[in-house]
Amino acid sequence: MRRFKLLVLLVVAVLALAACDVKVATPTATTAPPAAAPTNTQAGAAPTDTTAAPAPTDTTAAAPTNTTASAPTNTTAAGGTTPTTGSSGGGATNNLAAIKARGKLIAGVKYDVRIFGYLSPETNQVEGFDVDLAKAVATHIFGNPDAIQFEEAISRNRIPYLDEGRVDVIFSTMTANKTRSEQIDFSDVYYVAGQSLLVPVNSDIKSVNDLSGKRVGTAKGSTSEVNIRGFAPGAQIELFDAYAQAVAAMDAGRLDAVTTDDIILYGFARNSPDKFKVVGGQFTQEPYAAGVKKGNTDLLNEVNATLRDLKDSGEWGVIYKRWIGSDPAAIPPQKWEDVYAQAPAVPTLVPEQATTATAGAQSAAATAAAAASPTTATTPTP
Amino acid sequence: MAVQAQEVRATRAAFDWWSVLRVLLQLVGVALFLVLIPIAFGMEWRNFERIFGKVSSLRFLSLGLIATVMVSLISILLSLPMATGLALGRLARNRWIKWPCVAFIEVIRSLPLLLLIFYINLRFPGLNIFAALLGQPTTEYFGRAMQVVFGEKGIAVIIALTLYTAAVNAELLRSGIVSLERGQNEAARSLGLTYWQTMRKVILPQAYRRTLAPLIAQFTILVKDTSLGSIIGFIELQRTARIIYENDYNPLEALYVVAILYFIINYLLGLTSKFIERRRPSVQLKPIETG
Amino acid sequence: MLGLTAENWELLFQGLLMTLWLTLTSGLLSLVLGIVVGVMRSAPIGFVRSIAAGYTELFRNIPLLTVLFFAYIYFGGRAGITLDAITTAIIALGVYTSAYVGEVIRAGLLTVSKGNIEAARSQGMSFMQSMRYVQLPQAMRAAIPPLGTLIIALLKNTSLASTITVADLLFRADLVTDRTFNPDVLLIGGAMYVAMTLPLGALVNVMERRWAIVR
Repeated sequence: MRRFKLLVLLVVAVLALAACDVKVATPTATTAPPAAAPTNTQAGAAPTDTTAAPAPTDTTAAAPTNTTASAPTNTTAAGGTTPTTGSSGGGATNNLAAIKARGKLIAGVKYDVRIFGYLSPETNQVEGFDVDLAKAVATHIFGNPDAIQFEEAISRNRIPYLDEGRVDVIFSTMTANKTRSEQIDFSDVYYVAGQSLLVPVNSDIKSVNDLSGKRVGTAKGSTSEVNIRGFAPGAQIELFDAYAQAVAAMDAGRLDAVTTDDIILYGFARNSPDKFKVVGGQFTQEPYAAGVKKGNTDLLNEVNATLRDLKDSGEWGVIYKRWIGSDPAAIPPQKWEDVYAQAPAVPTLVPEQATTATAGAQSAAATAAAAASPTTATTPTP
Repeated sequence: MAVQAQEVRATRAAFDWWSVLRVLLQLVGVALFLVLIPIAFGMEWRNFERIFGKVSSLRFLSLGLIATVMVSLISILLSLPMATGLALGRLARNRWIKWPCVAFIEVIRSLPLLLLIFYINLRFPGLNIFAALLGQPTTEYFGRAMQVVFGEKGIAVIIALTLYTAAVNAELLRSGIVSLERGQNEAARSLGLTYWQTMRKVILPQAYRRTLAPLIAQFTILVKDTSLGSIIGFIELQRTARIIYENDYNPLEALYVVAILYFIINYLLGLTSKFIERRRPSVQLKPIETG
Repeated sequence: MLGLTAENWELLFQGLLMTLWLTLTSGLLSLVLGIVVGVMRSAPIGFVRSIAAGYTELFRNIPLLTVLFFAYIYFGGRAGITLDAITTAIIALGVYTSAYVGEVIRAGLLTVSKGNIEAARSQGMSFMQSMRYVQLPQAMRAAIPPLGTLIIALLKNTSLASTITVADLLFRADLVTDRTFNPDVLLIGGAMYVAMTLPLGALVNVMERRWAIVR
């Protein structure tokens, strides 16, 4: 019997210690990830560790576990300077001849980003800006917008999917930048977004400067992850596979903000204006471009020809209006490098972007922009 | 053998009211939980209405249900012969057959299934049978379901589930075979039956019967584990629920609804095991179920 | 090996610690809950048995992933308190596993001979007393090998906690895979799991043989 009592005592003790560990560890978790200066945010300051979860050392975890859990990683390792991808067999099946022989294009799009690529429970179809552009490419190659198959490409697996030949082309709200252009080839720019914040309607977060000590969610493998670490070094970053998951977690009370490109966030805010609002204006520039496997030039030419046709004929404006809800202010530049080269000051871009929002999101964005401009002016331009 | 046959007839004749009562008792308990959970967790009726009130949501959910059921069935059917082969391989005298089987069973059984799914999905691209064989994508209801099940993610999940279940069930079948008296094997062989005939006609049928309950318990786990596919983007029941609640923000209610659906599938599966047991009573091996 | 930096190895080992931690805490939680459920399933009152049976059937027939997601959402703030992801995972894993533990305990209680129970009751012990001093100690002995099997299953199941942002071994292995663009890193994580579960399995086998109850 004594043994039984001992067992119960042990159980209680360990459970209590577990609770202690959690309590002790939480502040450590919120302490800062590395204060990487937000200098060159586009060109791949490396993502550091993902969640700042405490590493349980042992049952006597009274001392705060040291911050190795959120230690900065070696900046050259993660930037993808030496990607060892290369199931080389995949490449041959994705050139234009192979696609034509197959009779359909395989395109990677998002499934959970309203406005760009969204698997709608209503229609059970993927729809959005990216989807329409991919269909336009299919039309350009086959003369048939339905000669296309969509695969879900989430942020973190987009580039491997191209490398492995799982998809021919990626239209997946992908920011073109220097790091990524070393791994894949980018088409012309088809949209220019900027990173922003989504918060619950009753939140007091006004801009990226208010994020210190807050729980901020974003997607694994996105530029948003890299950027937010630079812009809000005091924030506790939590990573999800997809933005919709992060937003659902915020709705459940697990996050204080979700950060990614404003246009993606407007999709969530527009769907439930009673729950979320977009704040903080744009603090980066994100030129969206389609991606193909490196060296797949003939397919890239087809994609670029399609995009140029769309822009010239005004069809691009029609698609823009269909999904974003207003007329485009300007046609995006051809090369993604130009977006960074022009790099207009962040505050001046905010009013322009606010017009793209509709309905409930608009007023919130406008007020937020007004509130944010003095502060965001001090943030360095990308 | 004759004695056994008599026993079977005797059991068939008597209807087992006691087991029916026990099932009813369990169902009363389950029903109690099903009523209490929405109250305890403060679920809201209008959130349920967003699921049941929309034909599109129901249609979408049903698609996930089809995917879950089909993937489960395919994996069960594929895993059973594989498990048998592995079990016989492990019992083989030839060490070139035996040790690879042992290694395969032990390693696959020790891996978390989620890791297996991740690995297969990452390492073997181009498993898209639908794209390769069945051709053009379609917008029609059943075609969409096929595209999901035989798409890249679906195939990765089927392979992982098949390997894992086969490895676990191989151990079960092996213990079933070992538990048979040696005499049976020797008697059959001395009657002039070959090894394969002995196995097919004498040993395996009994081994299946003895291990029926734990086998079906493992299939229940397989059905539950199809939900892991949702993490690599396979659109089955769990994922459809997630898509619905990421749209309507009714997560507790959506998850509750799919939990009930999973419960129904698995409970029916469990009942078939009881039903078969009743018709063909067997020496019970003690089942050890694991999550 | 595989060109992993020391840093990546460190990440993996932190994940390993987290996995062990989750297994230990949720295992103990499930043991406590499981004993309660197992005793309830053997209770003399039909209603109590019915509740315990319902609990067991429910959790044995719904996926762990659904339970985890449900807990992750519910303990995000709806519950009135916010638990962090690790605590949430421990609770969900513990509750889920307790249904299986309950079954094992019940089976263990069935091995206790009727004579023992009757003797205890005739001594004037109440149901709870007889349970505590006579039946449970004997049941635990029979239950230990299957409990070992459950611990192995639990260890593997903790990998699901990675889906609710808990940085366990699978989460870290996946992260390092992302960083190095090399799916084979997952195999290192897998080898770590095998290194933990295989010895445990061998231990269970030994216990099964040594502690087998011969009647």
